Amino acid sequence: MNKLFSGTGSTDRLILPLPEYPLSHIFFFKSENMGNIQTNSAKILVFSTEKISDPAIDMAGLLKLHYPPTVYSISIPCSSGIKPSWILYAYEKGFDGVFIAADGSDCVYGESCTEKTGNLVGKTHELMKSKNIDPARLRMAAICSVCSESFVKQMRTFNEYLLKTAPNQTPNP
Amino acid sequence: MEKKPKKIGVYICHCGGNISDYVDVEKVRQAVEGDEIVFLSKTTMFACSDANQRDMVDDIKANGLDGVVVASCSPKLHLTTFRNVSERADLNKYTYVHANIREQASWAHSDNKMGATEKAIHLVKAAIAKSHYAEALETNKIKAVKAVAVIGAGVAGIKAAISLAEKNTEVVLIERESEMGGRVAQWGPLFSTQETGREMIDRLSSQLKQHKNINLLTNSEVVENKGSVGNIALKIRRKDPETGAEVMTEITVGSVLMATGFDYYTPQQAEFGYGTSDKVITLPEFKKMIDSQTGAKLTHNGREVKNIAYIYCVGSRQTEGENTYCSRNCCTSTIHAAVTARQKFSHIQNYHFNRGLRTYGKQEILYADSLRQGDIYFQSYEDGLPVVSVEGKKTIVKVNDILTNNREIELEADLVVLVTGMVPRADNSVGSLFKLPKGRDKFYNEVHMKLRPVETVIDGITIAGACQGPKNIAESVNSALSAATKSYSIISKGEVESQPLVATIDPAKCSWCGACEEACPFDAILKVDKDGKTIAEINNTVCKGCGMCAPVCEPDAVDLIACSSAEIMSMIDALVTPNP
Repeated sequence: MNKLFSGTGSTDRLILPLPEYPLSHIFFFKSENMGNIQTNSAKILVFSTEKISDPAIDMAGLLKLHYPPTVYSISIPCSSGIKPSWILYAYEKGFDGVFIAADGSDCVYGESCTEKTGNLVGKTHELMKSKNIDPARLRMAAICSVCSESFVKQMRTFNEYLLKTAPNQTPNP
Repeated sequence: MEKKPKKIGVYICHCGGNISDYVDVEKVRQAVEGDEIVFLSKTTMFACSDANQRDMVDDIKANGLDGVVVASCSPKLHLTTFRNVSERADLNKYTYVHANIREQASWAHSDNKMGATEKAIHLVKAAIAKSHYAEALETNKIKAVKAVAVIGAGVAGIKAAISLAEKNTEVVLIERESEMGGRVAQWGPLFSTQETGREMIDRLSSQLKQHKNINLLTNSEVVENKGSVGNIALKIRRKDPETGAEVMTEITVGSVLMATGFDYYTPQQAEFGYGTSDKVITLPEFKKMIDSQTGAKLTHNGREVKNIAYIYCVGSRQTEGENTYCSRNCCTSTIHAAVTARQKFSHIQNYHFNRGLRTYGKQEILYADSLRQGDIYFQSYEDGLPVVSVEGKKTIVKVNDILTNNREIELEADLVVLVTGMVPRADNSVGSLFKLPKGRDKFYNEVHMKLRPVETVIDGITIAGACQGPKNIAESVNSALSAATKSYSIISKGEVESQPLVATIDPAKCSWCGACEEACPFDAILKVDKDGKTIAEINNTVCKGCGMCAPVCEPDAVDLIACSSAEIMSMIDALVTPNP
């Protein structure tokens, strides 16, 4: 089962919204193709946004809130401008997980951002399934400019998940 | 002719020790010095210092560098600084690339120096990869009309118009109603001068009329807008108040200042007895009542009012409902109304059922006045709100007061005043015209609440007053003066620069499906015929560079300048390749 939904589920992985800042959109999936990663921290690529989530990630550093050093962020103007091909390329080249630090309802380019980012995540999940890549290796959450703690918690839990699951699935040719 | 290979300079900052205490900056330098485009690489104690900036300019000029990468703190702090350094060295500012190795490496991983250093190396390599693609870009210069349209002639709009007029700018002040003044004109005495709202508006109105360069259009609404910053064409529908005939006027301005104000929250049927008891009214209704009544006794529906219960935060700070925000001015406004009522009708007793008072700053004086005159305050949390019930002819307010150890308080009220706050305008048609983004609270959203508080993401459109969120008069005027200055700064040179970081279309790949046009929230995609083929084209003056059009393009014909697929993928390569 790989479906896009939010809420709770007994057999599905659940990321709870943080009480101090409810996350408007969290996508999670039943995990498949379990395996092991041989390193202490997984390689996570974060797509963050210049005006909304970058300040939160920067503030996490300022507050010395630690997360795995193998988390790298690439800054983009808006989360709804991420191409699925970039995400697939990241897996192909060796990233274990991709995290979209989405603008959510705070997007300065308009309220359609949330829906559009959700659509591209849904589309990417379909592409991942077709390539036999665990869709749970792509996560998204709204990270606004004050969500430093939320970002760090997301990175820690995502890292834990990725360490327990296999990054070395063989994509279809 | 073969393209000349790039030559760039890379500067790794110690930031005093903020970076070098955790990141081995020399190791970072050594890791990148061999890159094919890195001509020189240096570490520096403070990259942002004047001395280093001068050295960078000398390095660029002496070595004929094509670009620069600085690895230092967040680009929020010094991206502009180093772009300016590039310009001083006669380089195009868009050839500059920034790497953040302080907030995102040394500080974030101060618990893991080796990890922080490895990450810093990757981040700098990714910046160098990006630098491969960082081409010189020309900002588009557009002639700007030196006029500003101010929409809304409330206190914020009037003050903004006067401020702009004083700067020798043509102003068109557009008001939907037949008179200026908005909400403030409806108010009685104001804290702290006793001047009424009407008197204040009349005073401002006479100031405004002294400026010949302000054109006031009442009974007028903007119904159409075209163009972009510098040249915004507005179509205005003006209604003749006597004949009802409508006349269309067209104007062109360089900037638009929105000051469209707010609506009052209207309680739901039966919310705290509203609509079910004739003794329950809202704060604006109460203010009108005390302003309009004379004589020794306060009456409501022919009955004398002695006990007044004020229930706070109605329609604000909702746990169930859309308005989770605090409406800021209602605590002060209520206490001011209560104090005024008590001074005017000495026999009344005020009871305040609140959820914590927010009479911040000088407004605390009012709270002290209220206590001195004997007002009584009860407090509850959101899970124990007051309950209003009608028992025969009596209207009862009950609450468990947390200030007296949750003692149940019961009051028979002659009048219940619901302290209703500000909500966004229900009619958002003018906002939709300009595609102004709204925040979580549904008020218009600024780019950054602290650093760019009156700008919107729509270039040339500024916001002022309570259309941005609840504000009192002083705060509205502050933001109006700020927005006026910002709008003026946009057009004052007579030309505007537009960011060149926009979307691009590959005509060879595009065969027009309309998906990008549908995705674009700014109408920046044009359908054009070129060489016998229908394709999409970007209107560079309208495109905001958000990239929403890119992922929806099936043939991958859309890219974003400075964020192209080639660029992003090269950065991914750099981030994922193990360091030697």
